[in-house]
Order: sequence, then structure tokens, then C-alpha cells
Amino acid sequence: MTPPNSLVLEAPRDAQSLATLRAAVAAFARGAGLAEEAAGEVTLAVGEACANAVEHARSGDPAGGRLKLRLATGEGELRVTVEHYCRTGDIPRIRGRDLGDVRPGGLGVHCMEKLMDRLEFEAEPDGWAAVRLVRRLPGAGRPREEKPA
Amino acid sequence: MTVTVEAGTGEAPTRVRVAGEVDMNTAPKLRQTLRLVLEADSRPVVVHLGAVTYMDSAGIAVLIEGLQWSRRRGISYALEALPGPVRVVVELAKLDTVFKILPGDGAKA
Repeated sequence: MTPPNSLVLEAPRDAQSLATLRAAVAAFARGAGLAEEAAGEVTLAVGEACANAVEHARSGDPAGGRLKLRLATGEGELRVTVEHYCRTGDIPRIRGRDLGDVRPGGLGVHCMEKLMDRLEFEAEPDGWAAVRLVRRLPGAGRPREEKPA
Repeated sequence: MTVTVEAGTGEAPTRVRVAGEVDMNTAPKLRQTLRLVLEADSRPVVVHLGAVTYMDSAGIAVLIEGLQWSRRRGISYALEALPGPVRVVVELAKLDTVFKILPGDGAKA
């Protein structure tokens, strides 16, 4: 079976959802061709992003208390978008974090930046922003292996 | 996540065995256990992580707190048997030289 090239996950925006979301992200990452260790790294980065999204939501209640992730592969990349990650105004502060200054509370973003190839923010209409975590896939550009007849 | 405390006898340290996933949801339980253990006794404490399958910054924050409590009370504190997923986050946090890390038996849960 060919793994799906996109997937939407949605769960209540609370800490108890995190393990289930991570399990689905790990399976998708392996299906996209990442080896066990790399899939674990992506899962950790996305897990941190989801935990931050739960934490940031305490300053409001975006998306009706739901946490939504969009996963996709294409152009040799795996992309995971966490909707309503933070308030738009907080983006410069998040990106500007001094990585040398590691302390509890700032480590999550550090992990996201180190484990992924790229982080992107996308403004949403309601004053919140999504974060997109992008990781290059191995063997990008290689033609997809055909199933034997 | 499960946390099991094996009280030390004689010269042996108290061993806190952690298994499963340590994240924002489960870390408070580990924190509570470490606090109790580090307040109850002055015996050395070893946190055995061999059966941990996932740990993120919430788990790391608790391990750091444990280190701080142990220092305050002058108790020896070490991590043991770090599996791959824990090693990744400990190294990202640049804590591999801050914690005392014992090789231990990673396979034994």
C-alpha cells in the first residue's frame, strides 16, 4: 500500500492528546521514508510544537479548543503544520530566542529548530499563526519504486 | 509513563525507574516522585531511564529540577541507561556534561 501523502489530525487541545498525535506523526514520517531515528527526531520536534500550542492556548481559546495538524509530503520534503500555534505578535520573540541560553521553557523551540530543516510561520485570519516544520526526505528526486506486478 | 522507586539498602542508591513516554502530560508525576525521593532521604539517587520511549523538554525540565534539589541537599544524583530518544534531547539541551550519566543496563526495565 502506498502511504498517504497528506493527513489531517485533530484532537482536543490538551496535554492528554499529545501521545496519540505523536504516534500518528511517527507513523506518517516512517511511511514517508524516514528511518526510525529520523522519524523519532521529527516526532520530537512536532511533539514540542504541539506541547507549545497547548501552552500558548492558555492565553486564549483558539479553534474552539481543538488542536489541528496538517501533514504532507511533496517536493522531497515532509511538512507538518500545527495550526493556531501562537499569537502572530509572538513570532519575533519565538524566532529571536538565543539558543545558547538554554533553560527550562525555551528548550522546545531549540529542539524544533535543531531537528528540522526549516520552520515557517503562517498568519491565520484570527490573529493566531500556524507553525510549519519541514524536514527533507532521503533520496529526494529519486523516482518512486513501482510495486512488483 | 510509569515510575517505580526501588529504595536503596546498605550502600545501594535509591533507584527511580522511569518507563514509557515523558511529556507535558506525564512529567508532573515524575516531578512529584523525584521531589519525594530527594526530600525523604539523603541516600544517592539514580534515575534509570532505560525503558523511556519518548522524552521531550518537559521531561528534561524535571530532570534539571531533580538535579537542583539534589544539589541543595548535597545528595548524589545520576541518570542511568539513556536510550536513544533520551540521549537526543539531553544532547540538544547541552546537558550531557551537566548530568552525571551512568551507562547502566538499558535493556532492563
